[in-house]
Amino acid sequence: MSIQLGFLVAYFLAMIAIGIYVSRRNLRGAEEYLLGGRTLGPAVTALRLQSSSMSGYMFLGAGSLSYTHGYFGMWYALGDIGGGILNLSVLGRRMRKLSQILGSITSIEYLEHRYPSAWTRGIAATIALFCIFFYVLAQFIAGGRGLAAVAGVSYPVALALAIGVIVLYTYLGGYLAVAYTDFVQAIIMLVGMMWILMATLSAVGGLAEGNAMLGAMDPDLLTMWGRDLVYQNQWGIVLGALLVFSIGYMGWPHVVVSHMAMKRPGVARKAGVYSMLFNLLFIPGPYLVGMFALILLPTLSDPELAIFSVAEHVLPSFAVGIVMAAIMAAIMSTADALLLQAGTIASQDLYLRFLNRNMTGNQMVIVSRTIIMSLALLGYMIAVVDPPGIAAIVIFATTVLGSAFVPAYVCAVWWKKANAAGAIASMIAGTVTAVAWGLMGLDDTTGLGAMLVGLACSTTAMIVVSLCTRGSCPVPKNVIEALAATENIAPVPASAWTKQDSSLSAQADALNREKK
Amino acid sequence: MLNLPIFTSLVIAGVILAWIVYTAAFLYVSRHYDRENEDR
Amino acid sequence: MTNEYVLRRQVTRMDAHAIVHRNLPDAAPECTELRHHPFVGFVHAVNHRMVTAEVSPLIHTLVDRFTGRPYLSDPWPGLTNRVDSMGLNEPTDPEWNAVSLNQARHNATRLIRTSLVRRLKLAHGHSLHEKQCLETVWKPNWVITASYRRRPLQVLVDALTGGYYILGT
Repeated sequence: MSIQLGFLVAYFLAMIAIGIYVSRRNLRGAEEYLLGGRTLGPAVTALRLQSSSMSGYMFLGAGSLSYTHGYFGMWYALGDIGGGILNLSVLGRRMRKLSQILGSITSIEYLEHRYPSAWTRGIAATIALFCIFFYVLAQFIAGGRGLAAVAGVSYPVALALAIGVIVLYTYLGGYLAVAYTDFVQAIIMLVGMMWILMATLSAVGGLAEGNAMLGAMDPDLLTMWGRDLVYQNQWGIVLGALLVFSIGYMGWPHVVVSHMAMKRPGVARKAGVYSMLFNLLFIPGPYLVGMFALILLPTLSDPELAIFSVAEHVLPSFAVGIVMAAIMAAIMSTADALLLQAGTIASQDLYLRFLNRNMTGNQMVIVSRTIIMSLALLGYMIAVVDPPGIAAIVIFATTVLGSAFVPAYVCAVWWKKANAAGAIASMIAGTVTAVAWGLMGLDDTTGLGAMLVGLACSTTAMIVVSLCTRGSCPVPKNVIEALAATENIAPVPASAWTKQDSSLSAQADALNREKK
Repeated sequence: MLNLPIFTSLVIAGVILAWIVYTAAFLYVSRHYDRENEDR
Repeated sequence: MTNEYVLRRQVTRMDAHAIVHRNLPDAAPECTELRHHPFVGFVHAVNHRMVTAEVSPLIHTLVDRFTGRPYLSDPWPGLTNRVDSMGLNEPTDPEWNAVSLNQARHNATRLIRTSLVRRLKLAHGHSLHEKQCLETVWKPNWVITASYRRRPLQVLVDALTGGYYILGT
């Protein structure tokens, strides 16, 4: 235990040292710093993008899901694998073009531009904050549990420590050159996860042999219906599981990719392709390890520590420390990104928009800090007393997000008649349904997954309300024109597809319009 | 296959295949421009 | 002299052709013109404990006049006053989307603040002071008309960054 702790501490110190050293060298003028200096190349960018998907869910939630229910967890994994391509294709080009023409830089602003109304902004921001809170809560719990396991301290202490470090990072992280540390971290996690997977497979004698042993233990584990066949024929739930990380994912606020700087962005598309390949390789791993943990360690008291425990079991001790440290760092950086986003939403989309049009930089920082401290304290209070399961929280948050936002995003580009009233109604309907379904545990009683019901309600609300309020709440002229511009999209020649700079689309459009 | 029950194998293989087909279709549509012109 | 400004192109005509050739090898350029797109330019001074520079740090932003979309940019190369006789071949303002100067200013400061907090996080507050506001800055773009697989194609090549975009896609 103490060797692992030693490596964990050493890892963090090393990352901090690298971060400070590199940032000292780069921290010159404001512009160079803001614009990111040199571009890093597609492979590095892709790995960095992955850091955000490597979180407490992956390392603790997914493991516990499959430890508890075997191949049932695969429904989530299968959905997750396709999430990236679905997002790219369904929303992809048209949304990017529409967001360019409407001039939006964040996704919530984009919703308000497309569905003009102060309510759109207010409601979208509130829902986003609500969901971000739950996702952050999951990271807090994961951090607490992981730290408790590695450092041997009690959970409440570990939780406080984990939250403390995360909040500290949101304050002081600016001193570190994150690009490099993220990259090193991603490599360690990838290598670590692969190593754990290989070592686990070899410990059980291979995939086929492992499945045979699982089957011998309890044949239900190999069906995709969970222990005691609890989910058999529950197609509503299964469909929900498939949809959560494929479609639900589209609701996350970072979905609209915005170029902040006027610089050649050549790496973006290629990085997207790399990161999809990465997902394909990486996503099933934690689920498989969690399942085979049942064979190696059948009596774990906390299924959420399945992957950590297997790592301790199959890896040499020096590796355990480093890999666990990388996992902890991933959890923390996911939490940090989420908290900062919460801060931005609270300060820009709520405070600036509704309370103080002349918000200063200092006020922005104060509002951000306030919301972050509030979320941290609330998070601690909930997580320390009776922490819900990590997988359950993440699935809940993604379900609410997906139900609330997916119809709004999809109809934004694909349905001209979608108006502000419809969007507002759909966001509210989706949220209320998904939250109620989740809190009241209606998944089990009705056999319908929350994701399915939530999406159905929000989509219906969008359609019905938009059509009914056609007269009283018409789609504004500039939006109609913008949509017309996005509709006339010719396919791009394949060779030019990956490197086209979408931030030029509006300028290209101005010239294109002259041709008519 | 791999000692998994048929249903499980079919589902996993099926969904992965579906994603691959979907991706291929999406890439195909992107290449439409080239193909359309080759016929002229 | 007008109070409009023009940014000098950083990408030459030959560079632009090379960029098109690299990405669309079968395209045969037929006609190349230099067009300009209107932006609003801002220069802000940033006060933040973590940012030091030999001179007071300045941030340049350009806001697209037709959409309101703000961008951070490198310091403007070769900014010159527009002379009346300069034919810039500017596109017609569609007007249904154009932004006012104040809206452009608001968008620019929002972008800068979001970017600052994202990079520098929350250790310190910051303040921004607008040092310059150029109501009209014309940004150069090359527009290359080419034939590609027997069809006409127009490619816009950003004359500052070298990025490209095929018209109509």
